[in-house]
Amino acid sequence: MNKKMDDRDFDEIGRLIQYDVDKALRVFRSGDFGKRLRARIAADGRAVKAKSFLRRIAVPSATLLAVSAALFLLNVHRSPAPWPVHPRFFEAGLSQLPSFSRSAAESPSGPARKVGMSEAGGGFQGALASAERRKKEEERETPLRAEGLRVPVLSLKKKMEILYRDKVIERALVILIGKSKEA
Amino acid sequence: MPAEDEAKLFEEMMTYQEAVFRICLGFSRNPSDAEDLSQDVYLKAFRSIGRIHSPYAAKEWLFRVARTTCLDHQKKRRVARLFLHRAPEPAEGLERTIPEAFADTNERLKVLKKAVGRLPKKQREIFVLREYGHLSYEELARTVGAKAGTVMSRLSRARRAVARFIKEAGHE
Repeated sequence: MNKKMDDRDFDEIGRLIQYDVDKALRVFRSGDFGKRLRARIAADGRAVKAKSFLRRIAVPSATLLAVSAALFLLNVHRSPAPWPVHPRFFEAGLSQLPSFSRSAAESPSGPARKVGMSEAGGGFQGALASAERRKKEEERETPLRAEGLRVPVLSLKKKMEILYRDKVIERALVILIGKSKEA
Repeated sequence: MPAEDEAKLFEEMMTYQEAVFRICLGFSRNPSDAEDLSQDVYLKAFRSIGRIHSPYAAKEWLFRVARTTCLDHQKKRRVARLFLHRAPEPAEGLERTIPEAFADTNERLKVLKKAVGRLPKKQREIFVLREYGHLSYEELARTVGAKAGTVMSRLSRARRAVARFIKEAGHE
């Protein structure tokens, strides 16, 4: 009894499906499936071409965009300077300093010496002038070495002995001169 | 495979367009969706036609493509329904203005589609491929990748479940 009922139900299912399929197929056959499919395949081919082109330019464009955005954000969020410093301010300050390539005599601090300031009291200018002088003296001395004349290196004891002899001779001379004056 | 052979194979595949449409109708339960799905199936087949090594396997390969395409579509629709709450059940999309004589049939068809929609995935695919696509047991087994015996038992369970659902809906 139960089996018979099941068979009838299955037949009913078959009939309903057939009805559904027939109805849908009538609509399907009325349209040109092949033509629509060909159009879609052609559109898909164009889309694939466009996609491959986009894929080719996407990575460089995205990188460029990201770098631009990062630079823009850095520029926007950078903390401002405490006060606006004009480059001319530095230029004026630097122009007051002497040039290292020029001699002290040519330096703009020339007038300071004219008004009687000593070199030692001339501060930076004086120190610079003496440094340049020392440098010139060294340059004058260096050729000796360059010519191959050897300056003996004396020990401290030797130096003291020479100095002692010098002083003895000087003293002896002073005594002799003094005695001769008295005489 | 040479381009000429591919074109020939595709032409051969086009002869199964109604079978593909029927399978898509069974899965989607909506004629317009079924046509869109059929186009998707043929588009996929066109793109990867070079993968077919033997022209004799074209029919089953096409049905496998149809099956996976329909299952993917169902998955997407389920997700859309879950998040958008607006994609209606296909069975509800049947026309309301129908002649008196077909009213009962259409009503029962709606119930049938609901019953098919409630089947477990494995039973549903066997049921649709057999009842809508008219595939043999061997073809079914190769298409879903199961043994013929498994296919038969799944089909039997699916038929019983659908029949039970229709009967219960008739009593309500």
